[in-house]
Amino acid sequence: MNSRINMPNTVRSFFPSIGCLALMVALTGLPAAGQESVDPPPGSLPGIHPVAPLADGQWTMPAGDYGNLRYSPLDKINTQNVQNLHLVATQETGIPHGHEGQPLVVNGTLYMVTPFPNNLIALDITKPGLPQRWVFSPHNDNRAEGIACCDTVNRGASFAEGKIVYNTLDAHTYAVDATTGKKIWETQVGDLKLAETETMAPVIIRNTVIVGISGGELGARGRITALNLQTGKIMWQASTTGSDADMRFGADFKPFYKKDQGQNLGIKSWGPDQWKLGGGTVWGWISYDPGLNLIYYGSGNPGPWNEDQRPGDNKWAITIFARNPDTGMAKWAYQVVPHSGWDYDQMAENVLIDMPWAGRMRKLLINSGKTGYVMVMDRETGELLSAEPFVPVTWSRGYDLKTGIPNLVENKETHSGKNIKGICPANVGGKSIFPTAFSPRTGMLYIPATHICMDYQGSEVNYIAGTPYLGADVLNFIPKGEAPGALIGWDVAHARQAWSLNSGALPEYSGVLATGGDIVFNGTLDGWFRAIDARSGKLLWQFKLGSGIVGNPMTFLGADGKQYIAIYSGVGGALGATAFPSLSADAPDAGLGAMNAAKGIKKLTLPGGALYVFSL
Amino acid sequence: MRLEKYIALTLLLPLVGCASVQSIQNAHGPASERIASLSWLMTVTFLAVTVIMWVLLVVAAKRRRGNLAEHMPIDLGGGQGWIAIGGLAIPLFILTVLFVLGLQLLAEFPIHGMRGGMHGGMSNATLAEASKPDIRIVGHQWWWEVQYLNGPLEGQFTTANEIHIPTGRAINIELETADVMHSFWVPALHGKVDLIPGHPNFLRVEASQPGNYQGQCAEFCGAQHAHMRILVVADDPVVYDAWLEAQRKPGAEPTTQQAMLGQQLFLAGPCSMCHQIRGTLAGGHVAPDLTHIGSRQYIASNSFPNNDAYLEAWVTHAQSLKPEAKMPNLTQFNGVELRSLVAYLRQLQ
Amino acid sequence: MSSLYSPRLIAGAFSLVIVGLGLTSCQRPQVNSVANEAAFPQSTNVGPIPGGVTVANQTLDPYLKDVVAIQEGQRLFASYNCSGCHSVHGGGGMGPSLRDETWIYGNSDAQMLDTLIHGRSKGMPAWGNKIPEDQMWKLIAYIKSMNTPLEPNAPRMPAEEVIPSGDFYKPSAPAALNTPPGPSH
Repeated sequence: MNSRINMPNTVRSFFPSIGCLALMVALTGLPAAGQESVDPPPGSLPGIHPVAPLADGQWTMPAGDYGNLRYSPLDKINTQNVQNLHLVATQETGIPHGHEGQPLVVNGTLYMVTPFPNNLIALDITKPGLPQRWVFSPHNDNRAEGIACCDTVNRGASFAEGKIVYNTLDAHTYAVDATTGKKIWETQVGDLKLAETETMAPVIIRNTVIVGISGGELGARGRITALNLQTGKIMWQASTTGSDADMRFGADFKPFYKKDQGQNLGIKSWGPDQWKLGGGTVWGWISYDPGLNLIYYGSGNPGPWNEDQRPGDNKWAITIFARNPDTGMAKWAYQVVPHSGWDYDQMAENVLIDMPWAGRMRKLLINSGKTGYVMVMDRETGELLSAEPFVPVTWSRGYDLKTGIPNLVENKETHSGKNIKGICPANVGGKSIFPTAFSPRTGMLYIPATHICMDYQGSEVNYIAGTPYLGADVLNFIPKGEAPGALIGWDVAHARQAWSLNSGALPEYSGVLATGGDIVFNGTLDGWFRAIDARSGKLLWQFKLGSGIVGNPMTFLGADGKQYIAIYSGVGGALGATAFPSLSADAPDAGLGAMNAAKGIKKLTLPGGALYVFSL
Repeated sequence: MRLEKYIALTLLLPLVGCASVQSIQNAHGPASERIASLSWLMTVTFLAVTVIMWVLLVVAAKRRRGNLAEHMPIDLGGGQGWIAIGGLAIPLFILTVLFVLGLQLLAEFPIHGMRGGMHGGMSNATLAEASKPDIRIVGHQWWWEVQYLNGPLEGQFTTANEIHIPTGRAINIELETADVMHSFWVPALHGKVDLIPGHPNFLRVEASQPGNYQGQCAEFCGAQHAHMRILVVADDPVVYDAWLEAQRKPGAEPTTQQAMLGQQLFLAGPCSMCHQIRGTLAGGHVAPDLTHIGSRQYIASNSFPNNDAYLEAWVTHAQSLKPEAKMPNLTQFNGVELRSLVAYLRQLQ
Repeated sequence: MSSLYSPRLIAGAFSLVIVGLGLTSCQRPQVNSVANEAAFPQSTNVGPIPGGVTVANQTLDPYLKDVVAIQEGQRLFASYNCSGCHSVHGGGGMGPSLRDETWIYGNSDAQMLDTLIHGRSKGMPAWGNKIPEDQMWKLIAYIKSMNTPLEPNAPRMPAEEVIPSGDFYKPSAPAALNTPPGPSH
């Protein structure tokens, strides 16, 4: 069945039920997308095939599966009984910062990575109350705390071959023995002196650990690094600016659009030497298609924010890359926004799914990011098939699918010394780092969308190593008459919104989980953990947690055969940091302009940090 | 006659200005030549008018008045022809001619980018291409930022205060200001154009012969307005291209022990907070780019010669040389350090 | 009885005028020559009190009431990227708010100078080598002016903004992607 997916044995054994599921699936009359696809989970719409095994019981990687569906076929908790969901255990971390990311569950153990100092906590899920197995505390340089742009968050770990691998804020990658909690190896992947930090969750493909880098607000130069899973040795690095050799563009590199073709564009699309401080950091989610043997990830905004200081297209910032994980060589790249004066990082997860599109089976990549568009691409070639806005958008009027270029709105382009008003979405994005979920049963993508717009004024900025390299005064706001945010059920095949559920008093700022019970789980910034009907968008159940939610829900099967749902509580992150006492509510532009979009947050939630586990 | 002596002396007065290089009469480019000839025309015309008026005045003064009886009968309508012709028609004619000539000159050397006065019948795109600036000059209190925008993107660079142009070719310059109003004026080359906040102006400059052309901020802009001097260096095209090529390179790596120490001091010290040297981690944008400071003739916006003594004085006591300039007094360096720092700056050719 | 026009009275009145004239020039305190000219303060004695004891050349900021220096401090606050971490009006971001009443490392002039010179372990860089002391005092004067009537260009709560609906990009009809037998609802 999935014999072509060369999964480590330990991982494969965690998916015992996939064979049974395959038998339950009624075959459809559609031509198969390719033998690489995994058989669809029960109840899937005709023709929809995930690209890799789904998180069926355990949760071994950040998104649960390589395709970043964040969908679990578990259906013990469903629309009929979700009202009975109750709290079974909590675990404080004692760190009042943004708890982004999600726990892992492997072999009867739940692993959680805390914000800085990035402790790794192992809890025994086979016993009531989830007693602690061990805590691993890395050596974490506390200078990193001061150069982390948007709170000291961490977005999770990955598991493979008995190792938990995760990144620490001071730009080290650790592999820890999953049983004993002892360090196996540690590799420095970034330099604090150049303001490089790590917040993203690594992804492990066979023997390769892929990690990115953060620090795009401080003049760091983006790249991804591949480490050997056994030794931690660096195998290859691929930059997001610089020469074709630095970019690992070889003979195989075939961008679909003309605008992305050419030699050494990573140098030529910048002023002299500006690419060296050009940002384009990789701090989001990485997907992997085992069939095509390609990883997909995006790069962040070019630096500095003041776009007058960096004329040109600024390649390859804000770009979706497809690369071979073994060699690092790129297959294609697509720059989503050339130049960008709006901080539209392209770090959003790329959801990989095989499904019918315009009458035939396609290998799709679905991306909904800061730009406010749901982009559907052919992940084999990098062709843009559709780009439809899921939130109010003013910076552009759609994409030209022939050229791949957005139709920019002239008076929304930012400049030094000019206050450009009413740019939507804001620098926080139509959707921030918080990942979507895709349910093969409904064919819907569940998007945690914000409705924040901004006023943006560029200003001349000095590069001072180790300090921010921004050059923009930003003021976020929620336009009059709009809700701050909403969870959107997006019908992918028809490229339109099926339903939308407002997030309450504060913008939507947490990840999403979809399950086989037709439920979507999602949290709000003021701390409500919610279960929503995946088909209608009706709120079925909610529970108030100790602090605002900026984490991503996940689900697992306990030793007792029950289905559990786990979520972090702990407000923080770029927008959530406005709840911290260290940001003043009387300065509306505090926190890179976020304060004005999160008015009243200090009354609605207080900083905290804990894991909450629910079950029936 | 004493009167004639005074007239001759008065006529000599404007000529005093011609001795200086900063004069519209010292024209070295097509624009300034046209301005110079127009100004000669104006000078000669007004001189002629003045002379005629003086002659008439003298004649009238010398004429014997006589009494009322001698002039009887009085013609109340008499002399009106003189007023109509001499007082209205002739001045109107002279002013109209000068006004039209002035407008013509403005149209020929426009200060607005898109409205190219030179060629009719151009498409908008070609027009935009033709008036695309080669150089952008940004006025700061109290220095000039100079961005070279021609050539491929990765060959565009920023320098300060010393503006190089090739001879025999019109160069489009865009003028902006980062703070208050300034005015850009090199009298030997072109007319005065203001730098207005939020409103870019344009200028077309051409020099006919190689040389140094000096100018001055011509709009009062604060305490050091007088020390906001301009130097335009016109080079032979070949020399100019070599200069461009050299300026595009990142800052020279120090080779001597002394200069290496200087570079360390520059990067670790206060200099790198505001100044940029391409190729190093010094990336300041609020002060003049120093990537090739060693190649410039002057420092402090062409106020002082670029030599060891003035550089050292500028580092330690800028506030004495140019009070209220943004450059602070940096007194923490000892003698060895100061000399090393200056050695590093001087070798940034 | 002395005359109303006695020389002593005239001299007294005259000296009063002179003193008054002198006072007008006191509105801008003279830059302390020690701060301006001397080498950088480099010694921090670690005393018995946690956090160290500052020995700076001067312990009082000469610019606290000097509006010109405060404005200069605001310019430096932006130029030196203080605004990058602490936000444009000091409201906080990557670094803590400077507008509030909380001072992690103390709010005396000397303690603030110490923080600027030596940095703090959680990310505040040490600026001792990079910023002249005189400019540090101007920065401190600006920071201390926050939330007081002396603050230049104080932040204001913006009015609610409306975006004209014509500015929004809304495709006239969702792209009809003829997708038989695609998902249906």
